[in-house]
Amino acid sequence: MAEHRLTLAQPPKALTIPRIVEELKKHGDLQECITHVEYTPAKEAQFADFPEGLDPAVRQLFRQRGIERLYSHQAQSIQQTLAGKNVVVVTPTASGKTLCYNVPVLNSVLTERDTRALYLFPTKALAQDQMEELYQLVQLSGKDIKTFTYDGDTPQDARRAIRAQGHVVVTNPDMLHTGILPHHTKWVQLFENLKYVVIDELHTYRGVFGSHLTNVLRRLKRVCTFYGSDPQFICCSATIANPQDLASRLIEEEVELINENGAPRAEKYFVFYNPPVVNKQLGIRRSYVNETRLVALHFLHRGLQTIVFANSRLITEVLVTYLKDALEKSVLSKDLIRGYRGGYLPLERREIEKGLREGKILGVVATNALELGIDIGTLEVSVMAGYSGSIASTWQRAGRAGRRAGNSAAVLVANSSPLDQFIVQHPEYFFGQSPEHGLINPNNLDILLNHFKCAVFELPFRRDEKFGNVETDEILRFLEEQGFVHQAGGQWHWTNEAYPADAVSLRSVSSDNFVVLDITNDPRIISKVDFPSALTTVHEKAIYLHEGRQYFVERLDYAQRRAEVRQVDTDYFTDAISYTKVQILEAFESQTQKQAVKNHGEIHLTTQVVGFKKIKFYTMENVGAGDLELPEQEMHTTSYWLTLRKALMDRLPYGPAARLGGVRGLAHAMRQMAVLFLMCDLRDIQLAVEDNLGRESGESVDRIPPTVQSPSEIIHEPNIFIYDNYPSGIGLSQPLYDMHDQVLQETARLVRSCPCKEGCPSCIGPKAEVEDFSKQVVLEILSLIL
Amino acid sequence: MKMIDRLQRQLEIHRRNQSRTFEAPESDGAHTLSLCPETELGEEGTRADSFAPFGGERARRAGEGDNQISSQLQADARQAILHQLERLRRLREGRSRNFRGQVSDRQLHSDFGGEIRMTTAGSFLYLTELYERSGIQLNGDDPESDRQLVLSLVQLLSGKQIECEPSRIAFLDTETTGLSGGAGAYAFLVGIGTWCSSGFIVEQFFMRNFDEEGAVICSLEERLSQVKVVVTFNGKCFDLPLLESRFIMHRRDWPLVDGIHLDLLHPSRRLWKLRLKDCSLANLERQVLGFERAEDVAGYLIPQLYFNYVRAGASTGLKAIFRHNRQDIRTLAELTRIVAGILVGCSSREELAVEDLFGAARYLASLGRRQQSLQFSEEVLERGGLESMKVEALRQLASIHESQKTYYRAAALWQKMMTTSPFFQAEACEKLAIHYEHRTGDLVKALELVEDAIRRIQIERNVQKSSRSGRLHQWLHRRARLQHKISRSSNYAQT
Repeated sequence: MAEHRLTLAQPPKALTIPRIVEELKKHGDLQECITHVEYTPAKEAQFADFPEGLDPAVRQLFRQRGIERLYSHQAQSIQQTLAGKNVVVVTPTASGKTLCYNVPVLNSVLTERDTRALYLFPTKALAQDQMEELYQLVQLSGKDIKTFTYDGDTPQDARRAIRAQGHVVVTNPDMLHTGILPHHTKWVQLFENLKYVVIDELHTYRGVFGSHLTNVLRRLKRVCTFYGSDPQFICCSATIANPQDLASRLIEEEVELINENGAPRAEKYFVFYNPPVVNKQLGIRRSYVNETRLVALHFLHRGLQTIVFANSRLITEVLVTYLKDALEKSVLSKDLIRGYRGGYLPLERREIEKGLREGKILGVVATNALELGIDIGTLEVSVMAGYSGSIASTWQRAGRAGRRAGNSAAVLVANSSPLDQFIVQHPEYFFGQSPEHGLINPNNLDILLNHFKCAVFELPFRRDEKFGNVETDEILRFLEEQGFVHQAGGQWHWTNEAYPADAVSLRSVSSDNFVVLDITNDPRIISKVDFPSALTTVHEKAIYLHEGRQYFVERLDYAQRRAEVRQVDTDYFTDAISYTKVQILEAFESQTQKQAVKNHGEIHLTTQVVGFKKIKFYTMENVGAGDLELPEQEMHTTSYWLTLRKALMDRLPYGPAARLGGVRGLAHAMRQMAVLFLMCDLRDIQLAVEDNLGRESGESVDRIPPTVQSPSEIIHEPNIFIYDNYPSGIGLSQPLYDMHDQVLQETARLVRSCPCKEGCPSCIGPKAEVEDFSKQVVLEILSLIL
Repeated sequence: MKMIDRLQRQLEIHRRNQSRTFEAPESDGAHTLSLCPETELGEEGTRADSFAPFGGERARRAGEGDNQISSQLQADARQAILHQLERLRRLREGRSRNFRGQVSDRQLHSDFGGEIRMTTAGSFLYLTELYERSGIQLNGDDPESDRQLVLSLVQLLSGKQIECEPSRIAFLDTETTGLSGGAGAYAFLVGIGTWCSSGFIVEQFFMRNFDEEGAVICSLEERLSQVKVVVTFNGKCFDLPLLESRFIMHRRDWPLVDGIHLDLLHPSRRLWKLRLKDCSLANLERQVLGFERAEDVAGYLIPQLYFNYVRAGASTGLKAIFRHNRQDIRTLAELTRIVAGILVGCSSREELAVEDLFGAARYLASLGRRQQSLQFSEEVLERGGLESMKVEALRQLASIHESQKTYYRAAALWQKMMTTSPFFQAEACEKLAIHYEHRTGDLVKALELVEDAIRRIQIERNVQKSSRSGRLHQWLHRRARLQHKISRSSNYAQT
């Protein structure tokens, strides 16, 4: 694309976006890259009056802010809240969700002075932002309503005042867990008068984090009951498939769903962009980072305020550099472009947010830090470098452009991963109804045990008491054996010197982790690696990548949970080779379909890292290897698995190696699709492939090595395991079992529509790891079982 | 694989996973300490309702609705949890249990000489110990003079003037199940010491099990409501907030709302930090009171000993804890008397180490007792001691004189400071220069001092090559002004 030299003087904006999108479509180079343009027409707002029963002062307050009427969903939600119901509001970005909780909260504080409310946001930055908005409202009211944020940054001397006086306390689940609940006796005023608990960005509480949150809320409710309060919940969520279900699982109460959006919507163009293939044989496409740069410049040069989303901090910084350079070459100032990500100081963030609102900044490159509801005003274009991993967050990102009025555009630039490729090539999937589910498993044994400790620390358990929907007796007896609790007078008491919440992180199942110590100069901790991934990423002789730098692992101190690394400059990185043995403990459900069987149940895994490969950057050549002796790791978890019957395998007209390659390729593609449907992270589910027959014949369990080394390794009846990568499971296996057909169908579509010939990273995995014909085998298998 | 093997294996995995995931349970002292036969622990007491909820305004929504989602949810969850519990149940099999019966009340009674007290909230063990007036007390054995001392100390430290009988001054210390605070830390033993006509008496409130806490709190509420002044060591940050939290847990009012609290940690640090560094109560007891405990229990062992007692009835450790607590309280009372004696009393200063004397001088100055501080500082100088302390004392003294506007005495001290040690030389020099320039009008003498200071700074710079310009330009400025003044006055003199 030619560099455009344009000034900021622009035609009326109403004309701009459609015209520019047209230009983009017609642009010679780009034409074939655009796989889809979705046009969404504007929609009128649907208004409703403020519900009856609100204090006149509240109406007056919002009138002063220029809000005379409410959008229909706001009115509906406020009405339900006033009627004493729990609600979950599910509407797109910028539809005025905060009003849904600020109105009832202010209303109750204005009418009953003692009322308290607790706001939970998943991040500190969001809490700060919302705090600001609420504070402005309070200022306007002229009433003495105290609103505070309470998090790790709150100064010690301010805490006492907040505990006693804060009408609205804005915090995050982690702080509630470690700082507030264990010290509830210092929060008597809050817990005695707690009327509303607001949970914003509900969709972020899924998987491990959500499973923890449910337990934190169980503890919150116990404490509230103790002080005689019974708060209502007001939840807000981005669009997901099961908001009501997720909300009622999280708070374990009934929830009213409000999902008819009454906010107006402006015209919007959503463009899917797939970088051109440069090597058809290997399925290599042009770098999506570079393509993102071109697309963003297309808009920036025309003076349109643009936000660019990247999926990592590194890519964010790279794009900032690219765009600044490009702007500097044109007549525009490079200061018009800014970066925004975690790690920037709060003041700098505020300044950028303000610059965006006031139009002083033309372009911002951000991580997901700007995806959630921080107010940055109205942008015109959103460009996404790579698919974020979920439909919900992609809509959130797209929604940062074109809040309410004026037209806007969003462009998704795909990278070469299977997920991205699937999305850009199947727009109907993306634009159809959201299929993503927020899933949690609060009764995961490890998570549950940890929260039981915290709960009994906070208040003794009565003998007949329940914890959420869990019977407490057995678990407490278990903890008694370990010396954590003791029963006296019909109650269980905490009998340990420790402060249990400190040992439990809400962001992971196990709190065990390794610290990575950089000993190049003065030793300093550069990061933490959780236990399961430590053995594959910081084993001795590994190259550990961090913030774009390479470190050589000199020593792994297993007992001290510490890896000592030294900064190096190498042209390779390492990839651990691990062997996994799977043992099926129990199948909860199985169903035979044609010549395949779908199952889910419990499995036992034994994993051992036995060596590593050295892989050259860029060329991905294998340039060496090494052996490792690391302890075996065992895990007991839940899994979905697909058994391909021997009869089916026998029908495949290919040799053993190709069959094996095909099975492995199928597994690779299925896992990618499973991530998509489960709305989880790639690391939440893992893959194992093994032969069914070896086990049944009573021999020791055969494993299938990652590469085919000898023809003796023949599989007869393979099992493809996709398991929850957490001890005792996080609740993904049964849903995956239920989605079996859908997953296989979409896997087939992904593989079939991939332009590569023999498999590539975008469908069945990188070629180096699969045999020729693997792609044909995959398609053959799929056609036989679908 | 056979069913039983599979379960065995599950048990193993869970243990192994656990050793990674959880901290190992604290020491298994119960094994060694208990010889009692196995019986079930504390059966249903009479007060299982101490945590009964205050009825919520709205009926609980959960579990009530038969809405499809929630009932489905319930069923799913039950299914899942049952499954996991099954595993847990297996886990427990074959494990030895170490629960032992509680020692009988009577045994404890006779062991410790306590009595079982009944309250509306149940019973607990109450112990008293009287220390007659010939005990460890070294000087002053009159409760009236002790009382006066403490009340004067209260007035000095809190600015509040109060009157009360000696029995309303309580020395308080708690033994707890955890040091990190939070709602799960219990004060299982609360000791209160008071002076009485026959000596010093320590009362101890002890919960023999967790279900006796309500009774202890109930009784404490009554006892503490009679207290006007409560004296602790680090009670501001630890004992009192923790106790208050226990009162809240039992929904009882905190009886010390209007009481005056004297935390001896801070004054002790001010007085003894210079000499002792370690200002823990134990060290103060050794170094200041000169008392060696024959046998004592280490503080960090206390929670575990209590847990052992509660679980297994092992009472040996308990005796040591009672003794430890009593001794802490006696030491606290004695220490209070010493602190008061130094700060507000007329205890002879000769017996004090010079560092302590100086610590007191500084502390008194910061409390606004200039006259006293003056006396103390002068005595420090008379007695000599470390160079650094001497010059600090000079400085302290000079600043008191300065603030009292007895400048000529301050000037003499500054002069002395300059010759005594290089520390604060510059400061003294500056003070003197100001003194001569502005108060006595001795401009030439002031100029001499300024020249001297400038020379010193320049030498210092050459020697250390440091960029520390000191406050050279200020001195140069002062010199210029002085020179100007001198030349003007000499001109004036000439004309």
